[in-house]
Order: sequence, then C-alpha cells, then structure tokens
Amino acid sequence: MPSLKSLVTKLYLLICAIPGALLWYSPLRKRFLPTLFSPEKSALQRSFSLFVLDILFYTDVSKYRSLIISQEAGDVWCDIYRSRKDTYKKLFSNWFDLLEKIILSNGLARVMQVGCAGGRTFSSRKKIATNKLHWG
Amino acid sequence: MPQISFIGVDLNKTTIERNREVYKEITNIEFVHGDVFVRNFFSEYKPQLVFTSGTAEYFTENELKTFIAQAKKEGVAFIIFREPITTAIFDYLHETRSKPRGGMAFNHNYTFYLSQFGFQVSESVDKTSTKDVKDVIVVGRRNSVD
Repeated sequence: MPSLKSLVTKLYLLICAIPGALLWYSPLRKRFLPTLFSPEKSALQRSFSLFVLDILFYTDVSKYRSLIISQEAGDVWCDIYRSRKDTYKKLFSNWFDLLEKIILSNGLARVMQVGCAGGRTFSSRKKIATNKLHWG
Repeated sequence: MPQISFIGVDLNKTTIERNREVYKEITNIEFVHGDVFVRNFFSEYKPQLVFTSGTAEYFTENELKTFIAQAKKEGVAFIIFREPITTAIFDYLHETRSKPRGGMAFNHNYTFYLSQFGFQVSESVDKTSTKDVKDVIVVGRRNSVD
C-alpha cells in the first residue's frame, strides 16, 4: 500500500509535469528536446524534462531511449560526461582497477563496453598496463 | 599476452564519431554505433567480457534478461554491471523485480538475474556510493561447465 507521502509526491510531480506535457505535444517540442540533460534549466525546461524522462519514457522504453539518446539530447549528455572526464578518472579509480584486474588475470583479449558514454571508461586509463594493453 | 581489443558500443552516433576521432591513433579500440537490442554485437565481435557502467539502468527488466541471455548464448565469459541502485525504494537483498527509479532509469537486481542465467556472481559496492544511491559492481562469471 503506497504511503500518503508517496501519493502526495506523485501528485505534486504530475502537476509539475503538466507544462512539460503541453510542450511535448506542441510544435515547440523540437526546440526543447536538446535541453533534456542540460545542467542548468529554466522552470519550463525542468517541467519538460520531468514529463519526458520520468513519465513518458516509461510508456515505451525502447522507443523513447532511442529517440532521446540518439539525437541532440544524447549529444549534450555525452558532452557532459566528456567534460567530467578528469573527475571521473579519480572517482572511478576503484572500478577501473577492478576491471583491469579481471581482464589481465583472466588473459582476456576481447572486451566490449555497451553504452560507452563519451568514451568515459576508455578515456580514463591513459596508462599502458603492459606493452600490449592500451587502456584508452 | 595477446593484443587486447576493446569495442565500445553506443546508441549515440555523434559520440561514436567523436570517439573514433579522439582515439584514432590507438588501433585496438573500436567504436561502433548501434542498439544492442537490434544488432547482435555479441555474435559479431565475440567479446569475452562485456561490461556496462551506468547503462543497464536504462534497460527494462525484459531487456536486461535478453542482454544476459544473448551474451550467454554467444559465449561471453564475464558480464560486469556497474550500476546505481536507489536504496530508498529498492531493497537489493530481497527484491528481484525491477522498478523504475525516475530519470529514464530502473533499479535492477543484477545479482539475481546473472545467477538466474547460471553465472557465478560476486558483488561489491563502489566507493562512489552515497546515502541514497548505491553503486553496485556485479561480476558474473560463466560456469566453465556451461
């Protein structure tokens, strides 16, 4: 049974998403789509993001994932990741170490990253672990 | 040690093109544009290890199962998920059904699904975790008898 707090929160979010929903069904949609992942947003852009990313997306995940990520909004998203490359290099050092350890200790020769988000993981290892391993 | 080849797959074509340009001097990294649920990259590239970092959270529960099943079918030895879980709405120890977590993402029990498909699983929590969001690193290793 959902709590009263959860119901109130959902109702509040729905109300906040109404302007965004109106924008989605208007000719202005194209102008707002690239702003979906912009770090700084106007109130209208926030409402649009709320509607698209938190409500509409879940009605058809594969359709909207392709639509959002393959277009300009996805470009902005990847640019954000790329701009944080140095921060990520430190932040994710444990994860990169673990990944490297698994690859090397098991003698793996073919490694695939699905969702390479601006080359984040590949670009985070400039060091050459061995003569043969170029980790990005 | 053999030359290690890295393949990066992404839905975003611009990113793929930029990455190709940035890493053009590194010959063992390849970037490929496409949707992993449309094109069978596992069959094409025969990776031994497949990993996601902040990507599988955007899969549905069924897509996650398809992803693991496809990887297993194509002989992938390791699948690693490094993905966030919102602890306030998802009990990773007990919940097995995926739940939307907002912002296009889902909470999934990666450990459960990898186990369901016969992978030996080890899990850890990354230091990047916060009070509300746990970054789990789940390593699935294919059983040698499979």
